Amino acid sequence: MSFMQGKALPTPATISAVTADEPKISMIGTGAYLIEAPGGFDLPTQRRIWALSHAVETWPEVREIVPGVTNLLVILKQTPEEPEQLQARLRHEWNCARSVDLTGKTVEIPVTYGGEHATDLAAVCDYSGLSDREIVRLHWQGNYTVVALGSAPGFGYLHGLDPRIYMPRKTVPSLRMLKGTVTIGGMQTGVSVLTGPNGWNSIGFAEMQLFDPAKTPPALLAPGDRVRFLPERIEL
Amino acid sequence: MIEVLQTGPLNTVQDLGRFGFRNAGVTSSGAMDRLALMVGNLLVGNDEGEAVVEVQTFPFRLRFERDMTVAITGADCDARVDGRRLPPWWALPVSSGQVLELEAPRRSARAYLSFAGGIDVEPVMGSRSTSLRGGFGGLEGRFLAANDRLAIGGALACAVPPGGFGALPPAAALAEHFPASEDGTLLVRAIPAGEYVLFGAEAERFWSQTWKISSQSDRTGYRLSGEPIRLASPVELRSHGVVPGVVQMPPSGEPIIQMSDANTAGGYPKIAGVIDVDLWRLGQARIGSRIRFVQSSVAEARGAERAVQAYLDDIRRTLPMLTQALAAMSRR
Amino acid sequence: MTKARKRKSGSLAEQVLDPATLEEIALWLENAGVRSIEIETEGGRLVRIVAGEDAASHGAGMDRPVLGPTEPPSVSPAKAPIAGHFLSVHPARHAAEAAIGASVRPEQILGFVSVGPLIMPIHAEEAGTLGACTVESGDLVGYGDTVFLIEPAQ
Repeated sequence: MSFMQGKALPTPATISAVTADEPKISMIGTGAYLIEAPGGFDLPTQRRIWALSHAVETWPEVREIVPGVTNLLVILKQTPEEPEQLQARLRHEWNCARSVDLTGKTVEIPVTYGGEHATDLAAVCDYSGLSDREIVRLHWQGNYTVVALGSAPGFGYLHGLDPRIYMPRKTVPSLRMLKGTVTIGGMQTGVSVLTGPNGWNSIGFAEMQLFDPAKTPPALLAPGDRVRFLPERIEL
Repeated sequence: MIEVLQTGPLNTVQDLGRFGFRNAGVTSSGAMDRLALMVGNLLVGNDEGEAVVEVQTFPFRLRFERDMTVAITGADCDARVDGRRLPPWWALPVSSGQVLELEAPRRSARAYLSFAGGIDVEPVMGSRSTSLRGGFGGLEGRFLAANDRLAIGGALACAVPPGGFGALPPAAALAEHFPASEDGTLLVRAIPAGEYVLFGAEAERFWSQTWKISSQSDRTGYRLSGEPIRLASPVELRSHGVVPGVVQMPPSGEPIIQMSDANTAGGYPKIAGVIDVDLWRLGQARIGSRIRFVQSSVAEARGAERAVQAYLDDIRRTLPMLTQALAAMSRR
Repeated sequence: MTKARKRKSGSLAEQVLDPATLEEIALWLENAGVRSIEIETEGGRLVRIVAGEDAASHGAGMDRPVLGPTEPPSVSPAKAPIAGHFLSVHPARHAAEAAIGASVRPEQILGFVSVGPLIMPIHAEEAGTLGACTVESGDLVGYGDTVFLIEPAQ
């Protein structure tokens, strides 16, 4: 379909072998199968998920694929007649899947760190034991990779956060966090795309529009893209 | 054109949904009762997936600004055209200036208004469905308000009998494929999902108890209240894709069923998945009503899907025969 | 008799519901002096074809003693708009559209005839009081059969 979010993934640049492990494959609806990769949240695993995505999205019975964080949701056009056979094919495809390194683009996002929207910066200081200046520096110096899009239109889960500024999600979410808020959630970071409730920790604000329904594709970010944050202003 | 004269909040333009953008975080949206949408469209001579108005808050009134054909399907809202009472699941020709009124239904939750030619709003990413959360699709990405006007597409000459006609509602036509309980509890068929086994003996109570649809329920999802079901030890799941019908178990132990505006990603343990073919019934379940999950299978789901398809095909096939037969008899 | 038409490839029900065929059959019936025929298809669906409206309403009277000769001539019938199964109550409702004894308006829906998955209304033709329903719900009715009796308003 020409109006779709393009191919779910860009064309692979390099391919390398990774070790075979058994994934978990489960049904989450009559026509929806989730494949969860074994092992940790790392880029090699993610690259293999991308390879699996590439292979599966060409299957004629597949309506949509949703690559997640070291997992892949496969949504079929119809309930399959032979679910066991389908699961076996997915398993086989995983075993054949090699790591792909996506030829992503680099997106530079100007950020105002601190200031009125950085309502959780003090909590991140308390949790990490670092100064606000140090947290901001570690954040903008990071090299990030878009692991997956999800949760809201065009929202990218970014991998590459410095472990010193990992910060668990809030137990009580902010009720009205502004679109454009730069946040940390666990070992991930991202820029919110909708104004609304949000459990991630805000440390800054970005004006850049990451999603435009009138554009093709509507989402600026894609899995495999590199993201750099540019510290346009620091208000501490 | 049609003009909205009176409406509650959260009534939107919907079609069968927006597909192909879940990987960009875009929820599918679409009618909560897709079967009612499809039947309504077939009755007015449309393709089954044209855009319609989904009415879930009442009363709702609109005025037709030209002659057209309209169908009202889904919940029985005691619909009236210029005060004349209509049966549910009904299609009829209406004249410019006439007013259609819907009252709050006594049973079921949502009514669908289909117009010959379909609602002509600009498709966004391949669909006319309203994404309230994303703020796009439908009419300016928002719910309808009084004085809104909606364009209706050009329709082929539609041979609807002047006195109107209707379809057998799916609940009646497909009764043997959609089991009902004796006490009125909605039976929702589901298949165990990803983390089901982690619930161990607790899972038994997921099926055995009657859950109530809490007031914190909407097009995004239904939160159920009942005796909590908890995991022996918490699990941490990585963010993964989610679809309508997934039954998640948050730490509170009270399930959430993802519905048409389902989040595209989630991380709560999944105890079950409602079979797709039962989602239209859930879409008609009201806040405060009771449901019970019944363990199902892919084979059973396929059987019900085939029956639904046969019902829709039967409507599609019988409609031209009916209109021709009526025309022939009126000539005699 | 008109020239025989080319045989259609559809099911028997489709052939029988074809308007040209219907007209043809009705003409045969009239010529043969037969009032109505019923046809059962493989799918079990029955089709009843009645020759001429006069024959139909007369026929209903003959079939159902309810409408015997004592019936006041002022009573007006509400007739089935098509052949199918009579439904006294809409399948999604619990009560009839109009109760016996209630006053009805012209064009008001009194009951239904189901044709496969579709439903046609039986309308009151004039204002009056709904007198009686002459058919059991679920029974097969023919085109033009009297289903309700209305005592016209004075």
